[in-house]
Amino acid sequence: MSFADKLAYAWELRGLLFESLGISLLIAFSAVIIGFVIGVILAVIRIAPKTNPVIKVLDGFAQTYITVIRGTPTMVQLLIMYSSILVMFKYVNTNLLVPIIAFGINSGAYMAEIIRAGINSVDKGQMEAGRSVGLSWTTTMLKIIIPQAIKVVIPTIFNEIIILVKETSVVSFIALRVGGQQAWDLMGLVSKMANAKPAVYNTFLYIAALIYLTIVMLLTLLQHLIERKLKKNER
Amino acid sequence: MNDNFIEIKGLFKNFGKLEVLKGVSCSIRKGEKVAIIGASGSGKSTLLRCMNLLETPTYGEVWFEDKLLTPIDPYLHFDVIRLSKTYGKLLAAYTAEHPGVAEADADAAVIADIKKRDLLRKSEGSAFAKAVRDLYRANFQNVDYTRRNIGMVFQHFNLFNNLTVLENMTLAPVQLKLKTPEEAKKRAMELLERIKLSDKANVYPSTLSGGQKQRIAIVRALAMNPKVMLFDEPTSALDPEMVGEVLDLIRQLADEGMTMVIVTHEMGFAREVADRVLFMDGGVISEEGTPEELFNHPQNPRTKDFLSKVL
Repeated sequence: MSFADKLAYAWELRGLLFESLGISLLIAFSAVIIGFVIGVILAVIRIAPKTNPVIKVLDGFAQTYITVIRGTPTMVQLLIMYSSILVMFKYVNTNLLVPIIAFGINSGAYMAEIIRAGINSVDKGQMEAGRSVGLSWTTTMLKIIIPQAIKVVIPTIFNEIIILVKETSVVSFIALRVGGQQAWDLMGLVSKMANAKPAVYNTFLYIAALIYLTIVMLLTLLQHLIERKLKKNER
Repeated sequence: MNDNFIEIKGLFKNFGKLEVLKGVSCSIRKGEKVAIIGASGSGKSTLLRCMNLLETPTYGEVWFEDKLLTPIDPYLHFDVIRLSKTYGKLLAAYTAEHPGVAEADADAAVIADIKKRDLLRKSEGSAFAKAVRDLYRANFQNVDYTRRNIGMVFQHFNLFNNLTVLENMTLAPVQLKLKTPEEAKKRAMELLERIKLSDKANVYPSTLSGGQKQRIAIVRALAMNPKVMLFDEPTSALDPEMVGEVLDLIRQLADEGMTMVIVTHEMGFAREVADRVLFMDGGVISEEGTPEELFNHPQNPRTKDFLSKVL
């Protein structure tokens, strides 16, 4: 098979390629949203003054969560989620929720630490000023501290998103179903080629690499746009 | 009801092992302008920050308009101490040791002993616990609520960096539902007009000079219509040429009758504006008096020493 033939073959399968890319991105971006929400909640719990026993218990939970998730490989978490915890999804039409939740929970632990560092980087005087005009801790956090922290953590958050987009390639280790049909994420499709059509395996690897690279470059562009927009608030 | 806005009773504040305040009591009366002076590390800023509970006192009580902001400090309430188990035990022991002692003397001796040895640490019985709880419930007021009435101006301005000048001033009144957004905006613009910065309403704090930031910080506090203003070294972080504009604004507020407490290194200003000056040294108020008394006829050698260095 000549190189041109291989490319032509890949072009024929473009529908399948785009579909698998769609699945990869769906998993990644849903997980980013879940991860961000979990991250903000955990970070705020970690930072809240430990005066209330409920906060202390929640803080213990948050610390354990972060330790366990950061301490185990993503693939192990995904397989545990698939094989035992979310086994019920085996019996429904679509099991994409398994990787979405697994990656969301995974990302939440990293986001929590990123956001916590961002909140800590905001000058202590901002909280004091908020409290001194009678605002509660929570209101000051939401209106003053978190908006400033987000600005600081945008580059690191995007770093995490980029890692996550690429890391979703490990879902190729589990069997996905969409609408009752077998489905593949981008790397899953490439791996399938290794068995189905070994001659084009290499070409598909390069194609997958190019696609990931393009997505990461688009994300980087988005990051710069957001950073520029947020910078306007300073002038 | 008395005419004290702020009352500080037996205040101690420790940061870890460092004792910053070692038993401070003072009160700020309505309409009074009080300056707190003293060397760095003497506890003057900490005392000011305890007045609106930005620092939580280790012992002692802070009251604002007869409402309690801190937990009850049982050592300040003799009636409560008398309900404790320890008091009962010690009183029995004392009267046994000193037969024929007058009741009042025994009482005073035992209370002094309990305070000195800090004995009220463990469970002191239900009558004691109930007395503490009742006293607290009867007098307590949420500190967030109280802080609406206490404006604070910081050394480093602490304008909200993510909000415009106008938003800085309207955030709290609107969030706390004291004013509608329109009313809050109108009031904020009046205040900005007053300090001749209405053209800065829609810019972010990072574009302002230090003097402008501090004047806006002052009117941000005024936007809440506070009853008392606390100033924590309001000019210490300013370039010298901007000190005047900030002091002028504070002076205007003083002339209008605002109650204020100012921690400052500007001795000339303290002397001119204050009705009363507190000199702090080593975590206690070691001398207080009118500016005339304190600056011209200091009694305490520490005060004399300090003034000779700064005047």
